Amino acid sequence: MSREVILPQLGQSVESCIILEWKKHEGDYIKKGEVICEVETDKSTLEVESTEEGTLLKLLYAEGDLVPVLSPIAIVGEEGEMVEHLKDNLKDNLKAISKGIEKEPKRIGISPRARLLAEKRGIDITGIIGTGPGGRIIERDVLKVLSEKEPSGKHPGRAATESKVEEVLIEEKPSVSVEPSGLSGIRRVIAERMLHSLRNSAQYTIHGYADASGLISYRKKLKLLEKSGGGSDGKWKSFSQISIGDLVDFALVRTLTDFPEINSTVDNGKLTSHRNVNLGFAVDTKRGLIVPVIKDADKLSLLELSRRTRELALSAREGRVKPEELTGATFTVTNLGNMGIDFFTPVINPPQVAILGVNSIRPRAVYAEELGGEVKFIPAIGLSLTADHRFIDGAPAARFLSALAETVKRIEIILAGG
Amino acid sequence: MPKSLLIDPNDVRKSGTLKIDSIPLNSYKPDIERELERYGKEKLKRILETMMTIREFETMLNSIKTMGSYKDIEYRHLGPAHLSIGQEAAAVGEAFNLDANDFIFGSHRSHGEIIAKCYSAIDKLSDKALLSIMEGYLDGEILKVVERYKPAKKGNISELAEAFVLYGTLAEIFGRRQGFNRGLGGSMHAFFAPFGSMPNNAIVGGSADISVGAALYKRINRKPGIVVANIGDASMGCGPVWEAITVASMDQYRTLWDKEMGGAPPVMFNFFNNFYGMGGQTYGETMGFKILARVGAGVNPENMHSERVDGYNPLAVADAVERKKKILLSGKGPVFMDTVTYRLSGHSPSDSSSYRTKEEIELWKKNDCIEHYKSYLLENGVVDNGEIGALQEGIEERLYRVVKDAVSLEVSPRVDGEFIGKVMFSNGRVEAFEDRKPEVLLDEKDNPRVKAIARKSRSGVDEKGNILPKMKVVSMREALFEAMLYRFYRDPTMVAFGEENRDWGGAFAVYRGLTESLPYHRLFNTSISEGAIVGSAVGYALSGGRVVAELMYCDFMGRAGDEIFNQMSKWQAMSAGHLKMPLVLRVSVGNKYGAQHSQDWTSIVAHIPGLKVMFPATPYDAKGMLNLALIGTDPVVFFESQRLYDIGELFVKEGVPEGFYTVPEGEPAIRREGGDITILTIGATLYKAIEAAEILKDRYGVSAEVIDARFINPLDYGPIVESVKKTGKIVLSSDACERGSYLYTIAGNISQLAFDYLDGPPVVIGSRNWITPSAEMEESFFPQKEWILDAIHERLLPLEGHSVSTVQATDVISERSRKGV
Repeated sequence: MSREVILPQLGQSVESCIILEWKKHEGDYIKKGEVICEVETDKSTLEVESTEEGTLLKLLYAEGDLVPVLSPIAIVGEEGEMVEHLKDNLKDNLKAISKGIEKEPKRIGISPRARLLAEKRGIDITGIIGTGPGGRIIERDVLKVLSEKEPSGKHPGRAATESKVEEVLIEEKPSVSVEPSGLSGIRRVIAERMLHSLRNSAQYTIHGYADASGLISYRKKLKLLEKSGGGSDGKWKSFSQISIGDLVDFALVRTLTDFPEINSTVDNGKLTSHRNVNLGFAVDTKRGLIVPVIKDADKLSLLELSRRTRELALSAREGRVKPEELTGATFTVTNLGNMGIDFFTPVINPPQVAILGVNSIRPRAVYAEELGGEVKFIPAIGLSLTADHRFIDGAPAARFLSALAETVKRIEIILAGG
Repeated sequence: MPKSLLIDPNDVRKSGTLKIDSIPLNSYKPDIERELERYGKEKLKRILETMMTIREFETMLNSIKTMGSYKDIEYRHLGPAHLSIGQEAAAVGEAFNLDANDFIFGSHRSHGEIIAKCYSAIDKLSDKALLSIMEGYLDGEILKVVERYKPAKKGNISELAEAFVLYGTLAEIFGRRQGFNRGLGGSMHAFFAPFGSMPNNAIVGGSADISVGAALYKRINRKPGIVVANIGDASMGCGPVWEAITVASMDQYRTLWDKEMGGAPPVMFNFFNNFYGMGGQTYGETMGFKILARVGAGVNPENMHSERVDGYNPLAVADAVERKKKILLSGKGPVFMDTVTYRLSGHSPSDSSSYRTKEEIELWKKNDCIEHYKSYLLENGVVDNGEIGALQEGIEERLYRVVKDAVSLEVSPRVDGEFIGKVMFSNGRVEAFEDRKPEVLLDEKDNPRVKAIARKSRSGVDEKGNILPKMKVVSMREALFEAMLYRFYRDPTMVAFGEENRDWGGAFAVYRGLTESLPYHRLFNTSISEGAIVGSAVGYALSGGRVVAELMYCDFMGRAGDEIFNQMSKWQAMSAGHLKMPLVLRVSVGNKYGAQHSQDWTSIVAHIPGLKVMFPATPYDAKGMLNLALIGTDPVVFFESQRLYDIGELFVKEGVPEGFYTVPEGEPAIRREGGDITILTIGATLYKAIEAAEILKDRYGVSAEVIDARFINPLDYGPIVESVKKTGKIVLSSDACERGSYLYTIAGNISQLAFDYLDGPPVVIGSRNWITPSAEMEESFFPQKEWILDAIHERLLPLEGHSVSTVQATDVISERSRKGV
């Protein structure tokens, strides 16, 4: 008799997970409690244990698929058993399971009034702490979130009158259109994360620039390597593939190690600073934004960093990036420089607390003694740093950004180990 | 307790023997000479014709019920048909000497009585009167159907009227629009008041106390005629029948009421004694009287003029009724008749007569009242066989047409279901049911209590807002008194009765001062007969008078269950609006007196369709709502809390108005405005809610809106829903026990009407599902302000810094329910 392995409820607010990797495959024998797959929730990566014992007849999802919790993910049974009918009946099973969910006592309660208010005002209820009986989210909890968003608003916990709510509603209506529900797959994850990031942190962006002459001249040298006959055995080829972006990333990683408060993540309101740098970098793919992570980037040489970046970017574009390559970043960089962008305000990727946006290189007029005491044009690369004001004030952010600019400027010295 | 009557120990302690007079049994002696002299040939034949009509009518119904057809007409009748085949002589004999304005009330087995009484009325009314009744009834809809029939003699209005009666009755039995009551009464409740055939009752003995009330109406309002309660021998086992007999036999009619009033209410308890109550045999099995007529002997010195009458001889019954009517009109009633008869048909068509022998039935068939009367007339040359044959032919011919029309959905459609909703209440406003001067003993302004009240503050608070001492304010009991007095001085038909109503002024002194203003027949004490108090009030009201009945404690409603649930509530709709029920039943909700004197049964009456239910909690409302009830035409159960009788008006600034005013029907009152939470109360819990609201404001900064529902049915949800839309939270509380409380109906409706606005579930706080404990322990039983606060904290809005002192968390709901407490 075939049975279904159910994806368990993996935390109070988790509605769905992405299957990162199947640890068992069709035809394998699995015991109850054995790990069947690894999934990623919006918060963490978790191992899922099988709720059934038997031969894995069918895996119902592919890696990377988004699966609602408490739904069947696989079918086990006797070897050779037919499972098609089960698949056909999946809908019915899902229905039956959703009935089971209703009985689940751990659901977060929210009053119709609070839900309506949250909906009208575009508030994500998943982050709200309920102060009603049994932790139920009641009107005052939504009002509190609202008043925090608008410090000038009404006193929290006091019922706003109907007309006042309506008034603000009209102002805020556009925000409603960004609701993540209704999206699917990666789009949904991006939407949820970005919305969550913006709703739950105090982001601001500062802009600066770095003298890119060093980057350009060093890059030229690397390009020349290719032409200077290194091409036959390809020994220098990979050097020649080092991009301006890689150089900036290298400078960034080196600077980050000196600014652990920027290279930090936050968990449950607690800030953790990291010694090592796991650098996430944004890759534009057909499916949307994917941020692969270069683990221990601070331990890599420029060449290694460049190579790893290329590898991961390619896997991301080809959709074969592994789930573990998508997690654990301590800082993220996003580069719109080759698209002619002068400055932008990147959105922090939680639980990180800052993100660097890299812009185009533009000639910039400068006046400096060291340049002969006259106004000159230098190639300048724009740098936009978004930080979470809850943890990082403007001055430390600025100090970090100017340190980064300095590192970029002196890239060759840094490469030499300076 | 009238002071004018002395109970002398020397008298009551004297030894001696109580002699009870003899009770005559079947004393009628047939004498054709005298009978012909008395009635004439035609009338004797008319008796036969009416009996034969009834027999054919019932035989037709039996055929339809058992075979699905009558002659070639096929029809399936789903409802009941309790037939009286064999009892025709009793019905026709009784009606024969009654006038159109004499009332008969009956039972579930009364088709024969309707036909007999209506035929008798037809014989006594003029053509003009008959036409006017038929043209006016149901806008002439019945008449329009039977006008199509060709009368034997052109322009014979009596024949037309007979067809009118047969068709109106049958259409009613078949539930048709042209039925006497639009088909809403059916077989067991059909009646036609214009001919004196009054409501027939499907509750055994149900007509007894209603008849007493109708007789009181006739006596008090000096109306002609007598009232007959046609009930069965088995109803002698019903408490309310004994109560009715008791109320009808009270001494006061002759000892205390004005002599000029004419004595006792003219009511005849006529027991159609067919020896069976369904299958239980009253003779020798289920009762002990052996001869039913014996029962009258125990009631009053006149033995209730009891006698056994041979109900198998119509002339014996007619004779007895004529004699008894004289007694009744002279004020010496009530009378008791044991009218012997026998039902040849079963209790209903499903009856297999397992409880009686074939031999017994055969014996009675041999004595069949119709055959015997036929033979009697034939033997004495009053009729010949040809005439009898022609009579039978005529009867069948007419009935055939009537049945054909009554089964046709084209000729006789049914009313739309929604029509029922339109006749549940009459919603009238009537200043006075008769245009004459109300009988009073002194001027309204000279009433001693009116003078005393004039010295009191109309408001419960002084100008500075301080609460005045209770003796200095117009209390709720005085506000109620003012409403009663006002209507007594304007509606001459208005009467009030109940236990301790006169002299004492009601157990809680609401009526104190009325005694001075009103003659005995407008305000009187009754025996401890709650069933008959309400039942006779029902009879009084449906006869056309305004009445206020009082049950001292709400708990005593149990004793009047049938009268409240089946009679008071039902007759307006069962008559399709022909009858009005201007009856206010005042009941007080007690406390301090334990389990049988402290219950709030609003939920129970609210559940019964056809009742208006009110529960004022302030003097302003008490007067305005009683004024409303006393100008209306609907039955109202009017609740009063004994906790509040002393209280002054604390909410309406101007206090209790001196003049007449009414509270808008169904409209809840907002007693205190607030924005954070709504507290709705019914009854005295209002004051606990106000206390809780004060604490919520002072201690927790929560602003509570307090709503006093004051009406239970009808109830306008508008203001309640508006409040909940504003606050999102509602607590509902009353002194009624929590399980099945009407508050849950309100809560359930709010959940639907304001679902999206709710910030938590509507929370109901009622009394515990226990007996009411002793006065000192009541705080553990009735909702207290702490319960309200704790329930808010546990179920709706945790209050910062609040610590609970009572158990109100939701866990107790299932826990208590599991235990049934």
